[in-house]
This record gives sequence, C-alpha cells and structure tokens, in this order.
Amino acid sequence: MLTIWIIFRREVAQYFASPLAYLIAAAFLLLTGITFNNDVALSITVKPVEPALIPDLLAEIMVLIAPLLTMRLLAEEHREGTVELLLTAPIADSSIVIGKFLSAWAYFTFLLALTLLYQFILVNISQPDIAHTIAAYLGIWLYGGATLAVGLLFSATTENQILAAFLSLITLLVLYFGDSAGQIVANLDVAAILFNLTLRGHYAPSFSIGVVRAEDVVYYAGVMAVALFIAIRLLESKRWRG
Amino acid sequence: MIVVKDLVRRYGTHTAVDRLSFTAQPGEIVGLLGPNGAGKTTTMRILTGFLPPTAGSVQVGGFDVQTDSLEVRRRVGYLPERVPVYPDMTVRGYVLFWARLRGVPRPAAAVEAVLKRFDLLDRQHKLVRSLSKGLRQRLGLAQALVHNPPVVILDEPTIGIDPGQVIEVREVVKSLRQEHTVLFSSHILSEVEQVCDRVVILHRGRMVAAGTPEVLGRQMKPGTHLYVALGGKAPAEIKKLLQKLDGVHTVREQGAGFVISSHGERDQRAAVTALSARHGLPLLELRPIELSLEDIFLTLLEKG
Amino acid sequence: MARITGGITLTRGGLGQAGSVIGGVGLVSGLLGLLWQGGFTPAIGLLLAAGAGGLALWATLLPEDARAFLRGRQVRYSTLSIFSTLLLVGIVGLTYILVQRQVIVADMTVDSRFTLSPETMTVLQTALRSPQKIEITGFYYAYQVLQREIDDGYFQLYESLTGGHIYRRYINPTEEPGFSAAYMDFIAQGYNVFLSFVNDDGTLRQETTIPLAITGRQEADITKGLRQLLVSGAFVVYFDTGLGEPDPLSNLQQDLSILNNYLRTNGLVTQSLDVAALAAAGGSIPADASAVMIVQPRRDMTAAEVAVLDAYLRRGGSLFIAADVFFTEDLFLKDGGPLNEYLWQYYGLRLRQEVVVDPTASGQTPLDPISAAVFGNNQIGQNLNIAGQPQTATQFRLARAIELNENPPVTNGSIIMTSPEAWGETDWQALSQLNAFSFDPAADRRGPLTTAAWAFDEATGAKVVLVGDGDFVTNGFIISPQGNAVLALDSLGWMTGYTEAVEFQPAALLTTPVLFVDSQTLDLIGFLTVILLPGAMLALAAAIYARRLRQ
Repeated sequence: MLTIWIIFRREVAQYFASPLAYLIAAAFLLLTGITFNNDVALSITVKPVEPALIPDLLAEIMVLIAPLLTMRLLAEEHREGTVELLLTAPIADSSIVIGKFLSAWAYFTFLLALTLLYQFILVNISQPDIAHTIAAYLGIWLYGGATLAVGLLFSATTENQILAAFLSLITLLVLYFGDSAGQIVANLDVAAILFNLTLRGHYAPSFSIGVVRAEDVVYYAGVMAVALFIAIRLLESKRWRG
Repeated sequence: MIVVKDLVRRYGTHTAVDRLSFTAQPGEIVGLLGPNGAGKTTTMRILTGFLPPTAGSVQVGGFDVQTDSLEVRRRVGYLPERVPVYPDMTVRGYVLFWARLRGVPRPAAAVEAVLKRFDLLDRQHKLVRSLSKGLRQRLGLAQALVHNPPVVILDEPTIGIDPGQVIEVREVVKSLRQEHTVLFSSHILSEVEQVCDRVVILHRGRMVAAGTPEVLGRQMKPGTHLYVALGGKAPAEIKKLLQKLDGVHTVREQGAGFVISSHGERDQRAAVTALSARHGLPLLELRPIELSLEDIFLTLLEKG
Repeated sequence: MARITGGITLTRGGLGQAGSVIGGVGLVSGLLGLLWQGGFTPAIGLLLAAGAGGLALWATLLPEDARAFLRGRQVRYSTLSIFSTLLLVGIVGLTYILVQRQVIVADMTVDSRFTLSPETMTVLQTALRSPQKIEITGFYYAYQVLQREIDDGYFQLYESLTGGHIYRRYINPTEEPGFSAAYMDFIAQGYNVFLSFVNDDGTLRQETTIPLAITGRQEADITKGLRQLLVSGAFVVYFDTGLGEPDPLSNLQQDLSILNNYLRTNGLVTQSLDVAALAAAGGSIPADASAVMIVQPRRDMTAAEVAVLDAYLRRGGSLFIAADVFFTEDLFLKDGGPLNEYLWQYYGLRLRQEVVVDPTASGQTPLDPISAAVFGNNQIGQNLNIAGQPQTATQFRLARAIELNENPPVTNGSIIMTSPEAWGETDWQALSQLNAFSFDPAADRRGPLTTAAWAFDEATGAKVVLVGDGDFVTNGFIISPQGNAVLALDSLGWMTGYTEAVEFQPAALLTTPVLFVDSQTLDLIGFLTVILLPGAMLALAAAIYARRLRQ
C-alpha cells in the first residue's frame, strides 16, 4: 500500500509539473467551457439545462484524452531505463502499475473537478437536476478510469510514447464505436452483445440518463482490473525478456 | 555476502552466463572484468533481482534471489550502466523518491547525507535534466547508496565520463569498501587493478580467471608477453622452438609472428635473441607488448 | 507475451501459443455465452469448437508445455500469463452476468423517472392475478440497440417486479420476417412494442395484443398498455347490423373497419348484433354488452325494437347512435318516430329533421360543419378542439341537429355545437333535388345548433351518446380530421367505462425549470469558463516551461 502511495505521489507530482498536462487541461477546459456556454445559450427560456452535458461530451472525447494522459506512464520508464531501478526496488510489480494508474485517474479526477465550476454556476442561476448530474459524473469517472487503464496497458507494451498512444487510441476507438456494430451486424443479439462490450454501452443507456446500474459499475471495474492485470504481466515480462 | 553458484542464464538459445560461480565477502570490492557481451550486466541484473536465473543459485546476504527476491532487493544498491533518471524531477526529489521506495526510515535525513557526500547539495533543487553526465553519474551513485545497502552493484560506473570524473568515481568506489560489499564491473584492466580486491574475469559468459589483481596482473605484466617475428623457417617449426623455451607457457600466432607468454618474472628477450643466434634465424621483430583485454582473455583461455 | 513492437516471425512456439490464446478465449467466451443465453446456440457451439481446436493446436505444437500445465508445473511464462489473464476475464464476466441478473439500479433523477410509480405497482399486482403470463414483445432492428438498452431498463423492471410473470422478448424484424409480418403495419407507424397474453404452450394470444408506441415516457406507455391488456375482453361493443348499417369488418370507404380495428387494438371486443332479429324472436341484448352502436341505419326503428333497447338501457347499458341524413320516407329517428319519442321522453334528446348549414365553421361546403364549440363538461369533449391543434376538431358530412330538453329527465348536455350563424334547414326537398338551401326564418332554427350530445341516467347507469352524423365514423372520414376518431373513441371510452379503467396518469414529471439568465450574467459566465479557466491553465503551462528553460 505504502509503495503504491509513493509511486502515486511521484506520478501526480509529475503531472502537475509537466507543461503538457496543463496544455491538455487548457484544451479540455476550453472545449467543455464552449460546450457549456452553448448549452446555456440554447437553454435560455426554452428548456432546462442538460444535466449530463459535460459527462456526455467527455464520453465522446475520452477516447482521445486517455492516450495522451497515459502514454508516458510506462513507456518513459522503459525509454529512460528507470524501469530497471523500479524493478530492482523492494516493491511488488503490481504497486508500480497500480500507483501509476491511480495517478492518471487522479489527474483525470482533477480535470473533472474543474468542470464542477459549471455546476456551481448553474446552481446559482437555476435549479438543475443535481442528482442526475452526480450520476452522470460518477459514470464518466468510471468510464474515464477504464479508458486510462487501457491507455496504461499500451504504455507498458513499448518504449515509444507515440506508438503507445496510437495503439491505445485504436483500441479505445474499437471499444467506443463497437456499438455502431448494430449498423453493420444484422443480428440483434450479436449487436446487443457487442454493445454491452463497449465503453459507451454502459454509459449511454444508464449514467447519462441519470440511472446508476450495478452492472455498469462492474463492467468498468472489470475493464480496469483486466487492463491493469495485463499491464502488470507486461511489465513483469520485462524481467523475462531482459 | 554474495554467493553465486553454477549460475546459468539463457536468452532463447543464446547462453549469456554459463555456469558461473564466485563469492564476495563483506568489505570486499569484487570486480567483474570482461569485454562487451561477456555477461557482466546479465550477472549483475540477476544479482539485483531484475532477471531470474535460468539455473543455478544466487544468494545475497543469505537470501535467494528467486525465493526471497524482495529481501535481496532491499539489501542491494544498484547503478545500471546507463544512469536511469527522471529528467523532470529535482535532484533532491529524485533521490528522495528512491529513498522512500526502498523504505528508508528517515528519508529526508538520508537524502541530505547522501547528497552532501556526493557534493550535490547546492544543486538539490535543480531539475535532473540540467545535470551534466558526470553529475548524473554522481546522482546515480547517490541513488544507489541512499538506503545504505550492504551490497552495492555498479555496472561500469566510469563509462562515458571525462577522466577527472573517472578518478572521482573510482575514489568513491574505494571509499565504499569499509561498509559495503561492492560488485564493480568494467572492461578496463587497469581500473579493476586499482579499485578491486578481487577480480572475476568473464568471457562469453564463462569465468576464465579469478583472483587478486596482483596474481592476475603478474601474468599480464609488461615483458612477460613478447611479440616475436623470426624468419628462415616455417611458422610451425618456429612455434615449436619457441614453446621449448624455458618458462614459456603459451605461444600464439599473431600476424606474421607470435606472441609468447611466460611464467614468472623472467624477461624472455635474452632467450629469444639467443634462440635466433643458435638456429641462425633472422630476428625480424622483438618487442614487449601491452596486452589488450581481448588478448588476455585469449591467453587465459588457451592456458585454461 | 510476444513483443508487440517486434517483427512477426512464425515459429512452432508462436503458433502453439496462438493456439493456446484462441483456445482459452474461445472456451471462456463460449462458457460466458452459455451462461448469458442460458442455453445452447450455434454461435456458442462455434466458440467452444474454436476453443477446443485452439487448445488442440497448442497441445500438438507445444506438447511439453501442455503436459506441464496439466500437471500444475511451471510452464512457459507467457502461457501462464495468458491463462491467468483469461481466468481473470472469466471471473469478471461471471461477476458481470450475476450482478446484471440482480437488477441493482439507483434512479438518480429528480423526478424518479426510472422508478415505477405506486400506480404502476398496483397495475402489476393486478397483472400477477391474471392466470396467463404477459409477454412484452419488442421489435428492434440491430441499429436500434441503444434505444433497446434504454427501453430494456424499464422492461427489466416489469419483469423482475413480477418475478417473470411479465417477461420481455426481442425480435429483429430482419431476422424473423415471418413472425414480424403481422406486426409490420404497426411497426411502420412507430408502434414497435406489443403486449400480449401468452397461452400455456408459449404462443401469443394474438387477439389480445396491444401495440405500444414508446415515447420518452416509457413507464406511462407500458403501464397504460398493461391496463389495456388487463381490461381486454372485459369490454364488448356490439355493432347493430339489423337496420342496414355499414359492415364493421369491411374496409370499404363507407364501412367501419378502421373504427373496429381501433377498438380491437385497444383491447375491446367487437361483435355484431341484430336488434330487429332480437325483437322478432323476443330476445334481449347480450348481458356482456358494454355498449351498442347504431351507425347510419337506413330505416327507423319499430316500437318492438325500441323495447329491446329500452330493456338494455334499464340494465345500465350504453347506446351510441350516429344517425344521418337520408332522403327517404322511413328516416331513422324521424319526427314522431318511436325511438325519437323514446329518447326525448327518457333522455331529453331528440334528433330533428334539420340539416345543419354552417356558413362560417365548415369544410368545403356549408353542409360540412366543423365543431365550432365543444363542451368539456363531459370527458368526451376534452380532447377535441385543443388550442393550436386544428386537427382535433371534428368535421361532419350532412349533419342533423339535435334538440335538448330544457328540463331533461336525466342529466344531459351538448358535446359539439355549430357556430351562431348556422341554421337547421328544413326544406329537404329543395336540398335533395336542387341542392339549394337558404335560411327561412319562419321554419328554420337559428344556430348555434347541437350536433352531438350525451345523456346519463344516474338511476340506472344508462348512457346515451347521440351524434347527428353517421359519416364521421366511416373509413372515409374517421382518420381525417383526427377529431372524428377522438369523438368516437372517447364516446365509447366514456360509455363503457374503458377510459377510466385504462387511463394512467404518470406522476407529473418534475422537470427542472426552464433557464432564465440575463445577458450580463451570460457574458460573465462565458468569460469565466471560456477565457479565464483555460487561460489560467495555459499560463501555468507557460510558467512551468519558462522555469524549465531557466534551469
């Protein structure tokens, strides 16, 4: 536990000491800010504000953000050779992966928390459906965690950050667009299974509309567990491959 | 402190370390000497718990590297060949990170001490990326020693830094003798001679010689190896004649002549001149040679 | 695990490893599929076969590896990794399926939009008492999978709350065209979910099927449908055919099949009836009759026939009359005729021999009166002439005026009236022969005239709806304007008690209020969120970069 915390702390500090992370944050906030302002402008005298607005947007763009946030995590250790010191430190290999994952998730949580400013504004100018918003935020928080775990997995495969980002982007796109399989696959059951395998399939029909289903929580937790497990195995394989 | 017995490590079909055995006692600096690809780094990686051995047993401080990997890792300080750094951390943060990760009881004090020891205190708030190569080497040493490990493993710590810094690093390594068991690898003979108490010479994964630098060095002293070029007869016959010389143990063909190696302190130059005169063979060339490491290995291999 | 960045070389070991991956993946996904479907399908068979094939390949190419695995000994590192990963995937999948079956859901919306209301729970209790199971048949194309997932969230609630007494089944019309054919007309109109009782052998009782259009208010849609289903069979509407009325089963323009279908799809049973034959045989109207409809009869009723109706009304029956203008001697509900006298005496309504001419509120000619005024004092009128929806008005074709008794023996009232400019044309000869009409102050009554009216006898429970036009319920007119169908269905709904039984008012949606912001606040928000916040991040990035440069 302690070692996870030490790794986590270093990685979080790393995020906050990196100009790239702030650039991502700036782009992220610009995008969410514009979306928020648009919705407010469209809503005036017409409709209540959209409770799941920001989470819905993130469900679309997390596929792009997650690789950027995670590509560095293990690829850099491989490139700089620090992985050799990590693997010879008296800590479990899993602590390294879990600590790094938690740091990425924490940074994502920070970005998400910044968007709560919009909710704060809304509370002051109208009466939004707060509980619905909380459900959607919970959903996107888990969704984001799952995408970050997948990103971390690919960061463990290579020492090339760009390649890691590219591979995780491809994988996340497949996981994201999987539900469009229904447009191609004529079989409803197959389409439903594919839909239920995708990241969006556990967000759009539940969290996004204000419903928290236990199965969706299990799905995202499962994706994280499997991705992290594979990442740990990949890191471990470094020992065998030399 | 370090007991290596019949260590084998294979990568696929390639055998990197082949039945290697040696020991290192507390207060001893043991040098691993060998050219690139001799298996030095692989041996060290196994000792640090980074790689598992294919066969054989390795114990550090009484713990087996395979069954008690974490205990072994706790007792080892390691500086890989290429100093691994996090460029965006500060010097202090970097060392502090490793101190914490290795469970140092009072990390801040330990870091302070080790930075002082390696003269990095005034740069402790600089980013690692701004350090020169020599400073990075010192930082690497600081990192390896911050948890005051009983065993210190340094993989070619003098490679790629300028001569002044090389001397500095050698001094540091020597200073470790009192408190640590040090395993030190190099491909420079003189360096090993200067620094180490005992030397293990590796070639293609095998140990070809071991002993104190004096014993090994004697075999390699100037004058005990001569380059001889004689004319007048077929090389094979000349080789036979040379081998008959008193004290000569190996004769190797090299270029147009031979390299002869002999035991003891005797200078064979007189004997060679006498041989030339006795058999009427024109002496084309006769000079003592400083053997390259490669030559020594070849010599040792032919001897062994 | 193979190095992903490296080149690909096909080796015996690599191939064997691939076999173990395919084998493991095939087996795990096959087993999960088996669990998920709860039965064997060709796809699962295929997966399991692929699994077995992959493992066979592994065992053939890396026999020592497979042997070691079986004996629990150290195996090739990567093989172990693959199997442990697959094991984890299996555990995760299993957990997912188990949790999914538990239907653990927290509805976070402010108006509990996704929680079934107490009203629905009552309906579910009623549904549980029905001896037959109820199937929710959803027709979804593969591309509608998201909509299906959302709807499924509701259907799942109904299923789990009734312990499977109500259960869901999904059909893809492209996959099962044979089964879907009977539903395609509805599906094309947006009714893609159907509720039906199920026979013991698992087949659907198609005659009970209720089509549903799923709007954004799934609970209201489904619960209302359930009520319709549960009352289906309880209400029987009889169409009289003994007076030359149009055929309820014929789909000709002048006939009544559309109305008949409307009633049936709402769960009402329709039957034919011959009042004349009953009168001749001394019989009576069946006891299960919720309402009797007399539409566009060609002759007037005899006193004996009226007696049959009277007996029925005294039992608390309901009578719907849509009479029309016919230029015949034996006009239905003629002045002084037995039925007209009877209605006047007991219900305070009578149909006059006046053709309504409305110069202001009418269709193509003044003879096509449009509902100028509608009275909401009875539920029949409530869905007519809705403001801003002109299609909810009614339009008649040659309508007769109704007279209401000033001092009626029972409660009665108008449903629809003409404009004040209208009059009741009494000169039928000129109208029929010359197609001429003009206001004659001496003979013709001035508007507004009643064209549809109701009466309710509280003592007996008898209900009467009298409409001075018969065309409006026929196939040619009932669809357009929409108000015509509403008048017919709401009349029957009121008379039979169906509307009360089926109507479902969902808890009012507490939608969060519409947003009001002044432009100054809006500018401030824009500045804060689009400029200040991202700008701060940019500044931080620049500051850190600058610090790095300095070092």
